[in-house]
Amino acid sequence: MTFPLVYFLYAFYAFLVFWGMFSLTALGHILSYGMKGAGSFFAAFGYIAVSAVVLLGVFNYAGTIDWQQNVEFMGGYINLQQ
Amino acid sequence: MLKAHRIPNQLPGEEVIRIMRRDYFIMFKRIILFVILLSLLLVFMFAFYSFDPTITSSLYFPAIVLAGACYFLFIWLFFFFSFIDYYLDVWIITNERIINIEQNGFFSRTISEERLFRIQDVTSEVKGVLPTVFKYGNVIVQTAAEKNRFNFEQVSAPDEVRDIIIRLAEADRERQSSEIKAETVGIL
Repeated sequence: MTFPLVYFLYAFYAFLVFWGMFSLTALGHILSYGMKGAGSFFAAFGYIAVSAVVLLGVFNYAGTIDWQQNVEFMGGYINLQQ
Repeated sequence: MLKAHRIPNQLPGEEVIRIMRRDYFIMFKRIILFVILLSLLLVFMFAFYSFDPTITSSLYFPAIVLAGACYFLFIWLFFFFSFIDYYLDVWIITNERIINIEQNGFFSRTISEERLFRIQDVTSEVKGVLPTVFKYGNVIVQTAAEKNRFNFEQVSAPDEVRDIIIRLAEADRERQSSEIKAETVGIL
């Protein structure tokens, strides 16, 4: 089976959509219900900062890849490009 | 947001005596779990590289990177949920009330409060090796209300918390009694 590498990128985007929704919910919770002080803001900022660093690194790397390459799976007996 | 100097339905002259969460060791255990899950990712990456040192130039490497990013973001979100569960459970002792704020899951939040003079019994318990070593445990407050038990879970120094609540409850009962007597004398 052969398919373009970009399918993995699409799957990653789909994961990011769900991850983003849950992240926003979590951030909304801690900012709404947390005690007003350094703890809530530091926790929210820390979460956003680490996530941003990881995502920036992944997207920087993804920018160097030719996603239109085909990857072969199961010996190339099924070609999804046909 | 909840402000330390402004609590739900604050009474005139009410002062916050103590704000408590679960002991820091509880959060430490969750941090250790996150580190273990993160180290699994590093172990897999090392295993992949050891099995095939040319994997970084392989056609599948971008997919491996994306999978690793998904895994990290998932455990990071899981850790943040765990922190929120720890952080949003708060127990507040004031000179008038005890307040129990519990986050049960993500879409369930319970706030209970009880006046100090209605407290009938306060029990502290420390069970287990780790609670004994790190001095955290439960404080169970028995009241005369419909919800007759408040449970301060895994708080630091539960004996000290028990003593504080008992002392405040007695003082509040005396104050209530004095006010009733004064009102009675005023009526008569």
